[in-house]
Amino acid sequence: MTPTMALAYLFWTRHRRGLTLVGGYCLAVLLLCAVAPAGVFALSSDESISLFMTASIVLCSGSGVAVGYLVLIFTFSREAQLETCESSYPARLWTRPLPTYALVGWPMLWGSAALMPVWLTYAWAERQLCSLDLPLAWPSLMAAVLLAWCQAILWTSFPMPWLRLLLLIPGGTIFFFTPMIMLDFDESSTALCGLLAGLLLAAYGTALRSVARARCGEHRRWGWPDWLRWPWAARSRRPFSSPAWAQLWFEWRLHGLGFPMAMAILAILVFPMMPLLVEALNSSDQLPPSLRQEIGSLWLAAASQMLVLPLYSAMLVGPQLGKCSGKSFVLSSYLATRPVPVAMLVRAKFAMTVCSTLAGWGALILGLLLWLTLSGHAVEAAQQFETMRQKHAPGVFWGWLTLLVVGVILLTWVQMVQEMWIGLTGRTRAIEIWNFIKVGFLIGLILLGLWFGFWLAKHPEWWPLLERLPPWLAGTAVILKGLAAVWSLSVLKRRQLIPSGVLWGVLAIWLALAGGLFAALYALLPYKWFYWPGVILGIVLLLPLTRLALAPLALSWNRHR
Amino acid sequence: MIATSSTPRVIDIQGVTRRFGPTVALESVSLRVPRGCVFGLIGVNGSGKTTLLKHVLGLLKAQTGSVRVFERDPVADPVGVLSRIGYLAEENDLPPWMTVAELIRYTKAFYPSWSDEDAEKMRRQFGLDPNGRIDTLSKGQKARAGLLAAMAYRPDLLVLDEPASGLDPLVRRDILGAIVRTIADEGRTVLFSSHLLDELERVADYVAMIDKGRIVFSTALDDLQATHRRLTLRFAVARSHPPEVRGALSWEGAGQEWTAVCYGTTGELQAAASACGASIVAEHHVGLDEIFVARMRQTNAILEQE
Repeated sequence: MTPTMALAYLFWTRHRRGLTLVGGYCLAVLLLCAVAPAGVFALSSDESISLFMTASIVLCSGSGVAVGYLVLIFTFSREAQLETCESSYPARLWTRPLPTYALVGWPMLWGSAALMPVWLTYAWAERQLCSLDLPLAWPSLMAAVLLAWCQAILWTSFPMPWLRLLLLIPGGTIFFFTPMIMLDFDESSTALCGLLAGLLLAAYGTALRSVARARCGEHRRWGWPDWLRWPWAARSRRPFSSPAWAQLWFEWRLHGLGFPMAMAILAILVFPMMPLLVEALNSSDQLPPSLRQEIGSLWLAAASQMLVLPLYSAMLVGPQLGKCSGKSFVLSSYLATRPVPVAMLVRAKFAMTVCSTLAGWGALILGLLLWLTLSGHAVEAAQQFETMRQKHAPGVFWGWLTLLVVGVILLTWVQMVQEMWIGLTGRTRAIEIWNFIKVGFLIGLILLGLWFGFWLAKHPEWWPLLERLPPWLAGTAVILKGLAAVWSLSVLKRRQLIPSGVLWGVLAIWLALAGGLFAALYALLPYKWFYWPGVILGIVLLLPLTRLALAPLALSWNRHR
Repeated sequence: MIATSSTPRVIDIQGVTRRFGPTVALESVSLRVPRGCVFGLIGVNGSGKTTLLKHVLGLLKAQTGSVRVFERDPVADPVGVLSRIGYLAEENDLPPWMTVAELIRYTKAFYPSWSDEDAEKMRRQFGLDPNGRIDTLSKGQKARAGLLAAMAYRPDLLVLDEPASGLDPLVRRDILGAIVRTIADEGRTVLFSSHLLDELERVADYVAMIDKGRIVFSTALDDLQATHRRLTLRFAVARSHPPEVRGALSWEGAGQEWTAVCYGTTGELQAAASACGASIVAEHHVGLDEIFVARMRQTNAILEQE
């Protein structure tokens, strides 16, 4: 066996299950294309819309997951920490008797060879089953370029932490939109393919140079300037007043900066594009003009970004917060042997997420204010704000504003903590199964919702019955959530993982928060809009209790295996 | 049984069995570690030493049997047990992103008995740069940093899992020094596993050998050395294979002269030699190293026969 074959064998043995699944998926789709009549899910009439959308969602989700998985394994980023300075190329491969161009070139080539068929399968299936004519050549080349640049950036050593992410996110965005813009300007796909081929070569050159430097230990680091380091260092020498503070510091250093940094990077990226968004909102037919007049396009554009960015980022960052060391979900023996109860370790994690959420929001608001000031929109924004304020009674205006701000921050925090418990189990297999179930459930829910929606549109005789359903749904949700909470809290109490006083305290805070939200909505919503079963259902499903209670149980399972 | 019923025990393990899937890592292990001693745990790789130590720390739950440390269950009362234990893991999984100064500052917060003076003394002695990140330290320096973090609060029980594995003689000397310093304080106990049997022999009071999840022996080191010796036997006629002698653990030799590592008193061994027509021509004390190898060979031979 040659060294290259050995490398390929090593790669195959490590990822054979996943690669087999991707191959199986492509084969299944192609088989379906061969068996099913052409255009079976095509959009030919109003009745066919549900089939068309279902098929498109299934094909798009399947291919998306396959592409994501392939990028993940061919960049070796499953073992990497993106925010660190070091090259993510696995150092264990540097001792193989292979030249650097082979160590770089083969994973790029294999990755491209794996990605291209996924796109071709997807495009072919859309053409055969849905009669959608998608281009074949340039998107598959673009997938290869996307992978190659991800590899180049991930395998490069950076002189400071977080620089990689700072480069990866805008780079990815620009790269993703370039072909669309080029095609909009009627550039031919041949020219586009030429551009992409050039980008592919450039990525290979960058990756080659980076890996060659990292392989022989060439790594330049930039330190913080002394004037910036000194006060920080002086503060950090003070001893912690308690183990709880020490643990909070530990968690903050480990995870705390991730969300605020993501927010800061997104603020740099998104806010300069706000004028485009404002223009799009102004020319949109979908948006009710009353809403535009009520809020103002600038604030509407800002609010849409402020709602989407933190929630989406928190959803991505959240599952990683269960990690107990840099890379692993398994509690390290050093941390596991600290003489503190599990409850304190979990409390430090929750406290860190609160600090991280607030810091992230701080970064985002600061970014917005900076952009408004620097771009000269500050006066326009102030005028729109004043107009909004004058239109409403002060109590209602400030009440809604407070509720919105608190609600969105609370929602961000919920996104951060709600899946922490599964990571805290430290069981990789359990985490993988959970992710699989979650994605399956989400896709299933979308499909079911679509089917049900279309079915319902055709059967108006069921509408009165459905109008009576929400109170029952609300009641069932409250009962189920209550049962789950009682079970998890009683297990916590039985195992003495949390003192009884703390348990009652948590329960009291939850009830106070739920009651406060209900009261605020009752006071602020117009009477005709206040539909109490919907409000209760929303509050009960929004505020986590069981998921929080599961965290100490999961960590205890991780600590005492 | 290595301790009398009146000796206070720091660790009391009774009938612990642990399985990982089909693999039996520990099988009905019972072990008692008396207070104020250095207890060495020896065994080949994968014999179950780390698994046993993890049960002591409460990082693994006993599937059957019981583990008591300071008369408490380490799983039910981790705070009560861990606050009195200093632990240095084989894999040395200190947080890689911390500097040495941060490690000291963070670890100190958990132990009211932490001594800044001791920590600083050890840091200087080990030559640890307070601004050096853990992930940039050499393996030996990492072990020293771990030792500092495990020792500076003067724990009642120091648990070291293969502390000197793969380290240079200077680091090994520091680790042995730490063990000696620990036992210099009355009432403190050291439990450590090691492959470096000559060094273990220098400091251990008690030794237990574990193989394939079972305790082969657990005894005072002096008793072990007193009951094992290497005998050279001369036979009247040349032999093609070693004789069956009660107490012989392993054989080497050919023809008329055979050497065996034996277990038993002098009288018992002389009687056994006479019974097979041989006379003892030389008798030597054996080190822990030889006893270990002989015991392993015997265990493997029994397994092969089975």
